[in-house]
Amino acid sequence: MTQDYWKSLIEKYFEAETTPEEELALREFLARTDDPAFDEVRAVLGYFSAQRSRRAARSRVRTLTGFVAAAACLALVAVFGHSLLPRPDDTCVIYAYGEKSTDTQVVLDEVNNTLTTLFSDNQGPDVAAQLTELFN
Amino acid sequence: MKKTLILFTLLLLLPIAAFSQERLRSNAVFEGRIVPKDRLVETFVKGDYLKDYGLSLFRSVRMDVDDAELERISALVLRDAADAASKETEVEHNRLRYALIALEPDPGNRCFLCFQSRPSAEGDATSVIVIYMEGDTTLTNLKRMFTTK
Repeated sequence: MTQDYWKSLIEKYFEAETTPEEELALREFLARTDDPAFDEVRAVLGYFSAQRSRRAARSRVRTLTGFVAAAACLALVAVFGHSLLPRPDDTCVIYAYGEKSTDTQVVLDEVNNTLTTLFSDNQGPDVAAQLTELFN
Repeated sequence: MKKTLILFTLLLLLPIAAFSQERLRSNAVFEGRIVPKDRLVETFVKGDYLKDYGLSLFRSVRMDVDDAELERISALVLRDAADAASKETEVEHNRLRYALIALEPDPGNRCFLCFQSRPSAEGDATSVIVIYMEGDTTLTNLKRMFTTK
């Protein structure tokens, strides 16, 4: 194919009249030719190619960053959310003379007082009196 | 495959762990079969609330009992103590005053049964505490923790 053919194809290209096959052939020609007559066109098309590949690379990086950020957020929620929220099988309840309370502080105070009473050599705090006061 | 086997084994062991208290004679006390529930203060705590104590489960009942009830409860506790890995009991005037019983010696799956009786502030009754605990601690650790408070 002659230089005139490629020049006419370039004209067609800039008129947006080339077929995809013609565009591919033109790119392949510009990639292998050293003819200075096509330097300007090669620069323009090369610029656009470079821009496209940079945009594609940036887009890939952005997609990857987004994915990593989302994964990190999920991991944080999984780790810290799990440790902060009470687990479904956590239970804290007291039934004092048939009356139920789920007040964590009341229940844990009872646990503390009961264990202190049990293990302490001295008699611990009067738990019965404290609970009677709480529930009456 | 290995993970599946471990998971399967854990699932098989789960009911055993969940019902380990039920095999105790003293469970009758927790169920209100010796002293009715409206005379008990029953505490049930499970999970992360107990992590500071090295426990995973705490269940206690506290009540005032007469001599006959005290005798029945003491008998149940002493029956459980007979099968225990280790125990520390004290009998005073033919009455069980306290018992610290380690039922399971395996770390990570330790079970404890504790009992204490003392004269009640009200009349001739006796105040009794029965505690069942599970966790990765020892009675010595708990004793240290609660006697220094």
